[in-house]
Amino acid sequence: MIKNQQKKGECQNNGTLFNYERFGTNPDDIRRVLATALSCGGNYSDIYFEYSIAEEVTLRDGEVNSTSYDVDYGVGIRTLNGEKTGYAYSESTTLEDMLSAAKMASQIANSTNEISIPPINELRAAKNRYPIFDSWEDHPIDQRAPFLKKINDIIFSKDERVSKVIARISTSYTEVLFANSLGESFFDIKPLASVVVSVIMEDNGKIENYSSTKSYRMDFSMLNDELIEELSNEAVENCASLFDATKPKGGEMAVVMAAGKSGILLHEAIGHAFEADFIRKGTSIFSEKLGEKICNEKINIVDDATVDFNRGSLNFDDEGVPGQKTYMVKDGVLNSFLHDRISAKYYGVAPTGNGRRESFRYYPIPRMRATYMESGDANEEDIIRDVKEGIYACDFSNGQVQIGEGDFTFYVKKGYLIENGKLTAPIKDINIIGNGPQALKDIVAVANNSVINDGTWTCGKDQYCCVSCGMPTVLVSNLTVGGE
Amino acid sequence: MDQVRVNFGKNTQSSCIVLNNEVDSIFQSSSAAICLQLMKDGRYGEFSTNLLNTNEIEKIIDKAIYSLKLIEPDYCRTLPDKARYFKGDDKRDLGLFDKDFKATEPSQKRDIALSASEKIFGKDERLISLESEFGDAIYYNHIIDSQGFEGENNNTSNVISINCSIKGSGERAERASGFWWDCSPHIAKLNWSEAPELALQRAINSLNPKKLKSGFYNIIIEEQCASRVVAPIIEGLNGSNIQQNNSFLLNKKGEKIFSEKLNIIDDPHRYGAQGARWFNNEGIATFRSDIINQGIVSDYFISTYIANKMNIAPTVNYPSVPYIQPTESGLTINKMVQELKEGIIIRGFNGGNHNLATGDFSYGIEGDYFKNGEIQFHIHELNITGNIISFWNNLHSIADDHKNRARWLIPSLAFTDVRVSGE
Repeated sequence: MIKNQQKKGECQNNGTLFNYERFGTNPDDIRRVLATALSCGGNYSDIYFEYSIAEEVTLRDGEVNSTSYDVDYGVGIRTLNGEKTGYAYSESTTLEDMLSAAKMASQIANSTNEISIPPINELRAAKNRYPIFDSWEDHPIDQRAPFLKKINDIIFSKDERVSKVIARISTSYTEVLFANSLGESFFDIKPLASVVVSVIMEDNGKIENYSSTKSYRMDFSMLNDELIEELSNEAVENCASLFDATKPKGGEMAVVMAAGKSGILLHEAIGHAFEADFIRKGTSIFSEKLGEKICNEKINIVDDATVDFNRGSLNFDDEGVPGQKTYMVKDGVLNSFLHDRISAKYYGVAPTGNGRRESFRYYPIPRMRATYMESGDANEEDIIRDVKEGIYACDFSNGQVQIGEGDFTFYVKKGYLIENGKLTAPIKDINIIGNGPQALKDIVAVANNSVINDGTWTCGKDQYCCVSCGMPTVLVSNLTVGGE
Repeated sequence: MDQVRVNFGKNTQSSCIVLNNEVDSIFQSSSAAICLQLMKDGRYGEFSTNLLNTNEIEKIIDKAIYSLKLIEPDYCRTLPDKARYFKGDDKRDLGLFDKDFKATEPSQKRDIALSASEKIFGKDERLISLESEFGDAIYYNHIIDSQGFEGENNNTSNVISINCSIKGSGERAERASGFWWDCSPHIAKLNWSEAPELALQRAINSLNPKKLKSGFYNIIIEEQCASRVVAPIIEGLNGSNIQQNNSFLLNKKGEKIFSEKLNIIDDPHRYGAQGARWFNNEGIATFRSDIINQGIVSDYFISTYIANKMNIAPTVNYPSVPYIQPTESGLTINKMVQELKEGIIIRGFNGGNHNLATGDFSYGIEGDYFKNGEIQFHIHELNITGNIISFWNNLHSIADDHKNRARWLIPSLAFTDVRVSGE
């Protein structure tokens, strides 16, 4: 039984009812607004309603003693005139205010146009990838607080060097109603929940910190003993290991990227440069490489909206395209860029479902979802054994890329030296820098252990989007490592 | 004691982006929201909504009262000492509101973006992509609390940004990009005409970059990106981090730990500075104060809550206009290059981070290599790595070239003996 299905509406979308009432609108008004958005010309318009509740509860100094709750509501209206965009939003969904916003968006075109919007066809998702069975709404914060208390107690019991813990549960519940001038419409309910645990440890006057995070499009069932164990173990073990860690000697060297969080390499080194707005503008270093072999034929890289409960998954993207799996690199060949409707039309291909936005306050642009490399045929032990001198990087905090130049970086929070094929001393707090196309060519071994990391990965590109990333263990033969 | 603070904010924003000399997108928005900070029976929560009709506001108040009963008390959550409130006795204009803001027509805004584009479009055959954006915004904020404080702020903002890509040659340098921007509360003071040529020149200068060998180098950090190495100090002085023992500046108050050349001042009433304000978000009157004085840590940023938790005196929770004093009046980057003779000018950072607990950092950099007092070539794919305390003890000089376009007034900075990792 899906609780959030119990909404009033006109029809059912894969079990979820269209909730026009939530937004005080109806299909006729929506068609009128879409037509107004095209009243000065243009070839496409869409309307995006959003109602969102974000709630947070925090444990600090052993007590669950603060909470926050935010309601956000509004509608964004977009007109496309070729590749040009007019956009306006309103926090009121009265017909008058929506028509006013539509008139503003329509100004991107400058002719006159009488258009009839086809009847609204309510699309169904092939599968709801984040069904809600046990809503957060039915579990107020006093039912979430014991989870935080338990994490706190377990962390303090694991190591006497623990001095402080901050633990936080953040949840959001978002209803989206979308329609466009093609007559397509969808309604979606998107849950998102994250738990973040930050631990401070002190040892002989030294201080270290570490944050462990998990995030899913899940309901209350996410909070369980397994998650407590995973988060507390990860936080304490990793923080403790940092006391012994040093910085490696800096310079160019082989880098073994461990399975999971190393997906940040894909996100930064190639993911952004595959986003087709950069391709269309000619600014990406990969702009002219579609169909070319760009790396080892054992490499397959995917951007995927179809992983159940994943932070990056979508039933529909934010311009009505069904969630799907896109092979960016197939057998070493650049197979597809990541398209929104604008770039897809420009290149004469189908949109890949990558048109995403932070909220109704933004118009959609090409963004990643869950970006990962599929498993290869090597095993991790053999990959490490083949490295005489290098580093093994297993934990990361952030990354960045220069789209045109292709230079990317990621910050290694934790790793190990590799000496004569063995992991030796722990290392920490170093930046690694490389060039995207070259780094891709320099991946010389891919292990059979691909895994998606479920941390709170958030991508910033003028606007924020929740994403995830994954990777099998790989060997990059040469990257520039910051160090002593 | 039950207490409440209510913050109402609204803003209107617009932007026009010109791509390759044609209008590519236009955007307009208006937002308003209310936030309640409630302290009831020692319990604290923040509750906000942009649904501003009476029914919805009553619903969020009911939600707040219900939610607060479900958490544990924290008696350190209080409104500030009333004696510290801004009383409104100083009514000088801080220069952050453009009275002519609403008189600017959308067509004028479009013309600025187009005119900026036209300055360089077609001027260099290597230009692949040119994006020119003009954006403006007007912000209004009103705070009222149950102890009787009431205050409001009105600010305006105008921004021009230019982003261009040019085609280079060579397998690893197919594209080079350049970016420049300006920001001012007053549209008449926005320097939009220089930005395009500066952006293009920066792209051209970035062509054919090289790596350097690993080693110790003198570095100069250009003012437009120098706040990157100041941020760890400001973050380390934050009271919340101090209270959590999560700062490399813990127990350093009153100690000289940086170069005596370093003076950071919070100057909240500086006319026209983007962060200038008479009171902070607690209603507390802001005041000029030393943050770092001749290398000595003067004070932490302590909110009322952290002060109550740590049983110490509050200050302000965040600096308004951090300003670094130059070591020599009129000192420029060019003069620094002449003095240091050889080293790197950092024009931009590429990723990296710092460890707040230890002060260790590692940042990706790009910029120019100089030798014999002259720029030789552009550099890329390099990291600088070290510890914030030792790094700032290698401070060589501070230029006199900060710009008012950012909230932090940080000039160009020169350091010696910085560890650079490259080839």
